[in-house]
Amino acid sequence: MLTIALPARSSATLRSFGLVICGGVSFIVAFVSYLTGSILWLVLGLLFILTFGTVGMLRPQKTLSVPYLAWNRLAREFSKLARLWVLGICFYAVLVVVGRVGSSLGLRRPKSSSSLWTPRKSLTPEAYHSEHTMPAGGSVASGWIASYLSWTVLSRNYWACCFLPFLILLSALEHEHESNVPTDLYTLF
Amino acid sequence: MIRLCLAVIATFLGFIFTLPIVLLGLPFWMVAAVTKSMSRYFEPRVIPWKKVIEFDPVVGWKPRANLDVYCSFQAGHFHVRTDDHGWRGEASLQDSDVVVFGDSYAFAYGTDDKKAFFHNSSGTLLIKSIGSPGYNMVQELLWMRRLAPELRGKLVVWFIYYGNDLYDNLLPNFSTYRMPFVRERNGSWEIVDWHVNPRRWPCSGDNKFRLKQKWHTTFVDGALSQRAYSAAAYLLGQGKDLSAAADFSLAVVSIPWPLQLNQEDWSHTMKRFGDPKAFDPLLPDRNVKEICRELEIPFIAGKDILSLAHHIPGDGHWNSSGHRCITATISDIHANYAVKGRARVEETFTRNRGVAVTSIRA
Repeated sequence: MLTIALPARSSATLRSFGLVICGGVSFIVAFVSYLTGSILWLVLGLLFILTFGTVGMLRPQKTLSVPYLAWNRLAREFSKLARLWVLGICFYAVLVVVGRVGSSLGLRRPKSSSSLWTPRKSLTPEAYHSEHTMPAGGSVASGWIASYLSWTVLSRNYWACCFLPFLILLSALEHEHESNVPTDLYTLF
Repeated sequence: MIRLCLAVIATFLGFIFTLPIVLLGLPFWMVAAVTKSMSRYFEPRVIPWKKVIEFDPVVGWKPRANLDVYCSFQAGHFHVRTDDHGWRGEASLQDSDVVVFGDSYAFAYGTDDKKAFFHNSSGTLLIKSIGSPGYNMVQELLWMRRLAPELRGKLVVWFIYYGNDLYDNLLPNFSTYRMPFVRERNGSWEIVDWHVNPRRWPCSGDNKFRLKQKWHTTFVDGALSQRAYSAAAYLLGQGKDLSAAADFSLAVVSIPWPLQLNQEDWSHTMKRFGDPKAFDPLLPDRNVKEICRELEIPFIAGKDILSLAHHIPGDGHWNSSGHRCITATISDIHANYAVKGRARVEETFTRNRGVAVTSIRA
């Protein structure tokens, strides 16, 4: 799954992050050097990459922890603003336009002989992860996108398929609360 | 149909407005994805957890014997070595002075052997760890019973982790694994293990979908917690009886859920489950301490000796500093209170490091 925040900090992820930074810097330096036609930029860039890369590989915790945390913080701040923007478009553009057609929910008081109760059947264990009946052969392993699409088909809310790109974007912008500890320890099983 | 047409048009227009977000976010997504995918080349070859544990017909599962592998976890990887019986630590059970029973904390999850609390750096105190990730107190008691003949004259330290132990004592499964549990019948508790077999437990979502009940059980004074603490009292009582019968000294060390150590994280998490004020982070230590006092078992609250700095960020298990702290605590218990023979509770006092201990004397 695409995430905006960097993976949990460890020596391996720090070294990997160091290489990515070196790669990014070399690309920028090469580009600037090409634009300006100056070799000085190239030399300075190479010096930086060699120093930063070597020290980063040897002492990742001491060298790369600060830029790693700074990058993660920047990503989190960006995701906060971006989510607000995307949600704004969803609520104040898409849903408002769709809502002009009216709602299929029976919100009026029923006639004396009718009821607003909707008959429901028991859910299969496979459907416990979602709030609607899973289609035959469907499983949680197929992911939330398949589950969402199956709901749009089963409930005949076909228009909601258009909402999917926004939901994917929101999930890619998702970041966990900055906590030192997880709420559940057992990720191993 | 009109709704669908309007939705398509609105989505198209909406997506034009979100395009800057996608473009600005691209560097972040790319850096995160490449960092994640490249990090595996800097890690040793790790094996999946299914290959670290094996089925046990009574306890449910146990670590495999003679492992020398790397395991991956939330914050990287760690080196695991096990002995002929599947337990970590260099000392044999026979030679050890202290035997620790517990779950992933006793297993030293997330830590290399050389940095774990049972590593014999000074050579003065030999500690053996009997534990596996996911164990509840029932499983730990069953191991105590099974190994009782080898515990004679030793100090046994029982780790109780508040994150899930008290709740899991009442459950027949841990994720898809079957485990023994306790149930109340005719006013008394009993251990149930007839359902333990290698087959996958059919409903495995408990840990994700019953978080509210889990935290209520441990941290909110009510019917659920009364039941859980009653079960814990039964299990600790069984442990106490066993210690008397098998002639070993028993002490209990509580392991705090790391959230209990940080007020901000605590409030933020508990908000998800209702009024955060209803959740009392001190309740487990109060109750377990009272149970231990009645049973005359020495009790040390982990919350008093551990801080958030002793834990691995993003994971929650102990780091090397946390393990050193636990080694020091076990050494203290052994040096001061592990008196061979019958023990008698005398008084509660505060030790020089601020640890509240119920002392015992011969």
